[in-house]
Amino acid sequence: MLSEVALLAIAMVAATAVGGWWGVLVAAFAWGAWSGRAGGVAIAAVCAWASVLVWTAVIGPLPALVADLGSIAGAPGWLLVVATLVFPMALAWSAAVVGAVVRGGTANGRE
Amino acid sequence: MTVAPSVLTDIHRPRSVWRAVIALVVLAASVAAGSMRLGPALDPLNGIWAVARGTELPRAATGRIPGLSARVDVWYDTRDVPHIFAASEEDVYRALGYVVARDRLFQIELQVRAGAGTLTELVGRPALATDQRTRGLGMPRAAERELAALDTASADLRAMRAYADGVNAWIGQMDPADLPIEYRLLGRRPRRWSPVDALHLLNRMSATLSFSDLERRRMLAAEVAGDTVARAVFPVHSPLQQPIVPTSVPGLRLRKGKVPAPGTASAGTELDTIASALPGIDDTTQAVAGVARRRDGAEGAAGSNNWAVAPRRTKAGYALLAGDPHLDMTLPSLWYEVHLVVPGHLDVAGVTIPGGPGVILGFTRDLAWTFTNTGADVTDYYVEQVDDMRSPRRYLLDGAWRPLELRTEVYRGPRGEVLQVDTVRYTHRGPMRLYAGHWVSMRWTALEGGGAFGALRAGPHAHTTAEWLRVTAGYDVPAQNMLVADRAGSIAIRSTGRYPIRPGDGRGDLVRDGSKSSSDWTGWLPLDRYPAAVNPAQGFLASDNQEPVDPDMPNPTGGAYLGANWETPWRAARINELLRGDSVVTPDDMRRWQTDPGSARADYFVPYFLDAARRADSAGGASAQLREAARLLGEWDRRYTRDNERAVLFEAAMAELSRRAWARLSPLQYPVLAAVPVPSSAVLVELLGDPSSVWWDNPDTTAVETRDDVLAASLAAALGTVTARRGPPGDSGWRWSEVRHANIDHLLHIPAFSRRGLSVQGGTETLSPSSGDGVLGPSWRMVVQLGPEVHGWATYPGGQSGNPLSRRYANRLPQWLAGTLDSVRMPHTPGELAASDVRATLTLEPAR
Repeated sequence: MLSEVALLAIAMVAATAVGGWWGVLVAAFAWGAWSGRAGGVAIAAVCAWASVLVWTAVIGPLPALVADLGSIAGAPGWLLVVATLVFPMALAWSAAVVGAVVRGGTANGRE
Repeated sequence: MTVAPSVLTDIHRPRSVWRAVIALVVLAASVAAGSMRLGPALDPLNGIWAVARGTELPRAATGRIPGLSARVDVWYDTRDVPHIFAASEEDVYRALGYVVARDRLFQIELQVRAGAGTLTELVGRPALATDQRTRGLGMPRAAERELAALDTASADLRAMRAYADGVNAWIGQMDPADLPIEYRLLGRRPRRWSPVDALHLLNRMSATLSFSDLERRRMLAAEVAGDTVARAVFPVHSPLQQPIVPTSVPGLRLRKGKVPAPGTASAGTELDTIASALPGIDDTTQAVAGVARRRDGAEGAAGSNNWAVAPRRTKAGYALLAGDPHLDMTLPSLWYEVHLVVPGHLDVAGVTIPGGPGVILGFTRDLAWTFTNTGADVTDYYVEQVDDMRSPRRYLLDGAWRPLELRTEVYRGPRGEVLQVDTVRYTHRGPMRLYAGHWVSMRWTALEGGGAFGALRAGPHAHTTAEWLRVTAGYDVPAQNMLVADRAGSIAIRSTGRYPIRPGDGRGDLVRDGSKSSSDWTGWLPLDRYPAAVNPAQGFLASDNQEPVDPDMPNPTGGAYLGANWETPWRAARINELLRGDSVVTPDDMRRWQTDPGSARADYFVPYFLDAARRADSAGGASAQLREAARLLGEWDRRYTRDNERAVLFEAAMAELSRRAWARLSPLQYPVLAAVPVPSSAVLVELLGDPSSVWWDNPDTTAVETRDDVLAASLAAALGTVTARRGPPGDSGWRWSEVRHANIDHLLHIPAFSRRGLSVQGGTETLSPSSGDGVLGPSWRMVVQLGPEVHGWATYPGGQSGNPLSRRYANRLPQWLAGTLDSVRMPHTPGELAASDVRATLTLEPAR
């Protein structure tokens, strides 16, 4: 399961690089349609985008950007980080479920 | 139809059905949110987070530019200055476009759009009024006509094309992380560059520096106090003289004059009504600044300085030159520092305006140059007679109808949608607009330019001051006090620009009758009559935006009208005093003087306040508050250092004095009129010379007040004001660092990207002035020593990068605030830079 999530996360990073946020949707849908399952996809998407954020923080001033964007948005900066992680999670889970349904699975991730 | 069976299968499992339904809803919501900019923005690889990865230049990078004749090497030193080594001048401009776009892409687009009147295409409808003002001034049309008039083979046009190639090459090759954050916040992409953009940029600079509202000022005053007074309070010649072209008088000279008593108001006359409706200088500069910036117009809020010292007055025996143009301070900065090298052809270090091909202020291995703004009057207005007041198509000239040129202006939004369409009409003089029910055309040299770009490009090719003056002779607008010094020890200054000659009395501060061609300009001041001085006997030259020549002394202009209402020469008096007092000047002296806290204005006015208080005390009429105020002011060393606790009292007293002295110019009796701008402190000096002038008398009291009454009352009131606002004397609120600040805003006024409330040394009319809202200031400080090896020192309030997250965004600010300068490197070849001096390299190859 762990290796599957890791592989999915790598695929999600690649998909994001190629197609931006649509890449997450397409990859998750494809996974759901291929495997008939949605389990692990959401976690993989979160891990994928989170790993990119971590990489960004390692090579650039991400905390300063978080603070500045929070100031511009008039909201705590960490909310934007949370949004950045919740968004691919919701996108990937929902796309994978729909993909699994299309394939004919039960989409609950356990079958 | 393979879907249906699976769905039917799921229907028998209620939890799965609900799960599928919820997933569909979540998916729809996610896609909707993602499509509304959230998806691209949050994408950590390509979205806004990527900005944090593009903050610094990679150690080594490569790029390709179409049209390059050979490889270009760019070496960034530890000050983040790119040294560009190219095989030809066109290649150097291609590389410059690439390099500047790499660091300042959003800035150059914003500035150019401000000059082109197309800000709406970037920021949408909020910029519509700004764009309409810019186009109404005729600026985009002027740039297009200037470009069309260029010979297709001219070096100027080739330089503009090369620069555009470089910018476009960067736009085409940049990584997602390199897209500036401002584009991401606005949801826009950069637009491609074209050669005309360089001219839009120059026009914007011209508008900032050459637009004047003398007519409006003078006539507003005439409406309230009569024409004679208007001419006196906004005079053609400064009552206080310390001109750029040296005279036999070493210090400040007060001209013989008197501010006449208020006369019959002329409010209500046709011309006055028009004049008061004309655009004020604030409206115009705000329009072309391209940002919602308001300049407060406070006297002494801005002012550029330059000075040069001949070898015989310097310690090392080499000519020295210093310059610090005071302009809008923004982040990223107005300037970008570069070093351009084409072996055997060009070798120049200095600053470029991002978006413009070339170094504007800087030095070569032979000479150095810097500018201050002349402030010449190159704008005139004409009341036109038209065939149809609502929609004119013709105007009357010498009894015959002439067709108006109609130019349709289409304003588009970010998605190309049309926001507004209007028509700008042109007479042979320039754009015509409706003011207070009258059609008024405007003639402005900025709309007839064509010499500035070529002159600025040619300057760095000169080897001596004489040659530099020759190749820049065609420079036209905005007129600049161009100071130059060379390695042979020669120093020279010339107020270079295109000065119109008006008919009749020659004055340009009047609205003229447009129905007669005899109202038109009759020609241009010839070059040999420009204010100029070469190697003066005094051994130094200085300019600080003051009147270039003393009209009562021999001068080359032959009495020609150059402008009016000049800057009061307080800064000139101060720097000339420092220069006269030192015959062994060092580069460090030059640097120190750029932030000198002394004030010729304070030296002049403080004794008047103290004398008035003393007289009141002797006559038994001094209140305890006046005595205390005089005591406190008497303690002042007349310096605007950060820890000074008395400058605040003096500034409050000056504000009171000005308000009380010019109370009769208040438009309270004509509430429909705009406020009359406050006359300069030079006119106040003139008024001080007339102690019993009626201007000192308060019309609202039965007593007859004199000058000393007003001075004493102003000083006492100032103590009350300052105490009420800042606590009793001795409280920290009196400290100058708590009073005056520099405020350097981001171009879009985003607080997180701005640096505000910066404590600075200097006050009103000091060499590094600090007053008003703090948005204007020394935008570039440079000192150059022209020895066998030229050596330069410089800094500016900002940093080389336009990325607010970059280390290079505002890293020069501490140095600028401290008044120190960096040594400027000027390697002959890339190999001359030690490895430890190189921060990054960029290799540019011809595009295949």
